[in-house]
Amino acid sequence: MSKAELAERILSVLKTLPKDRIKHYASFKDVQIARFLDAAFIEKTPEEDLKLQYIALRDLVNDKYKNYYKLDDKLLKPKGNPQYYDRIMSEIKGEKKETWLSAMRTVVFGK
Amino acid sequence: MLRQNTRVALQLSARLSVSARAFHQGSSILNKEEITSPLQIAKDSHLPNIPQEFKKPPRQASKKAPFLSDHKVESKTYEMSSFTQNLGQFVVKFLNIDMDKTRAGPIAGSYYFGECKRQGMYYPDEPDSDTAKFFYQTLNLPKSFSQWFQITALHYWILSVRMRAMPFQYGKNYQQKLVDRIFSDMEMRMSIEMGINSSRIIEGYLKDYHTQLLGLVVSYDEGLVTDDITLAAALWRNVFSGNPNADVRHIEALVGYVRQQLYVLNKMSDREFGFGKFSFVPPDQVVKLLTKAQEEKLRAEAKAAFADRTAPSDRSVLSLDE
Repeated sequence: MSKAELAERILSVLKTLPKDRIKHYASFKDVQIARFLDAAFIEKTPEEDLKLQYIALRDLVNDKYKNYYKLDDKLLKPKGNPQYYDRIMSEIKGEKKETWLSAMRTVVFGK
Repeated sequence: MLRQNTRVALQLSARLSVSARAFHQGSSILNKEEITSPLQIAKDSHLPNIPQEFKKPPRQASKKAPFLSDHKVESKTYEMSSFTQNLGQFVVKFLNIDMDKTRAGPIAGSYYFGECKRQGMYYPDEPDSDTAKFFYQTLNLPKSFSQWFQITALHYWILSVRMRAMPFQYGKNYQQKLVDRIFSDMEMRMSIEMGINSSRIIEGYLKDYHTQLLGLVVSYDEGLVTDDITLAAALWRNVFSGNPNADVRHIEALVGYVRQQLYVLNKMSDREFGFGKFSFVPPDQVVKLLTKAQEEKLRAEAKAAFADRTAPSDRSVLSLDE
């Protein structure tokens, strides 16, 4: 596989990444796309390394580690605070905002 | 109506990206599925290192403070005299002290704190430990106080994921003790090791680090429950400081490192974790999956080990089964 083809593949994987749910100071997707669009970078990088970059990205997108090291509900629905991750995710996705009262409850009781 | 439309569009784009991902899964150039150690994964890549730019080089420690403290109980060789031990056991029994609550101090506030601190710790005049080599030489992270904090905060978060799964009041207490100790240690290090004389400046830095901690915990939590790429992006923003030249292979290695620690913690019972039986898996080792039989064997061994710990100070309500 040529270097140009590898760069194209990397870019096509990067373009499938979802947008950040909340805006951060830098976006992984945008920064990496800019990096692999840079012809000079592709030019000076050996093919072998470019291939590794592609494999790494592909493994991450395919959830290689999440699927291999599977976690039980023990950690994902912690018995001390079963709604913990659901509340964070619904807040991040903007589905359900915390109200003043529920926020105060978290401050006072910790959950 | 508008909201419905956007929802349909969102679902559609999600479906599209799934099919695009499936395509990449099928057309692999080198389908290596076995898992290797984070160190090996990171070492495979030979991209030239482009160092991050600083306005001025990061300040390095000029002195060395004790790793934990000067206090004798935190030294490795300390052994309590039998008289003090008996007196202590009597007090615990007589006052019916909740040992799970008390234990958070020595375990989370001292042992687990030391574990978190050790991983990214380096001293300018001493050779690096193996984990420090992984972070500063293999992953090419800059040697600075802020970088050390990011590594420590990552390990704090890994432990706090497990602490959340403990009974609420105990888990919360463990988290509190650990994070308190991390920040009081940072205050001490900034004044003694880094030589910052103004307590106002130290306080300002501590507030900054606290804000960073809040942000990274949310980002890592999001990565934990969603997917690897979200966790990777969170690690890139925090541990790799959003470095545009960061090697994706290195980020992958760190994702593997984090996930394998979480897997070990997932398999550990509350009681073992609460008694400080966990230590981080070094990056040059790889965690293999446990079979059902192995898991049961480990469980049985843990039960046997705790069966003869009947002293009042060993009392615990933490579960041995999960």
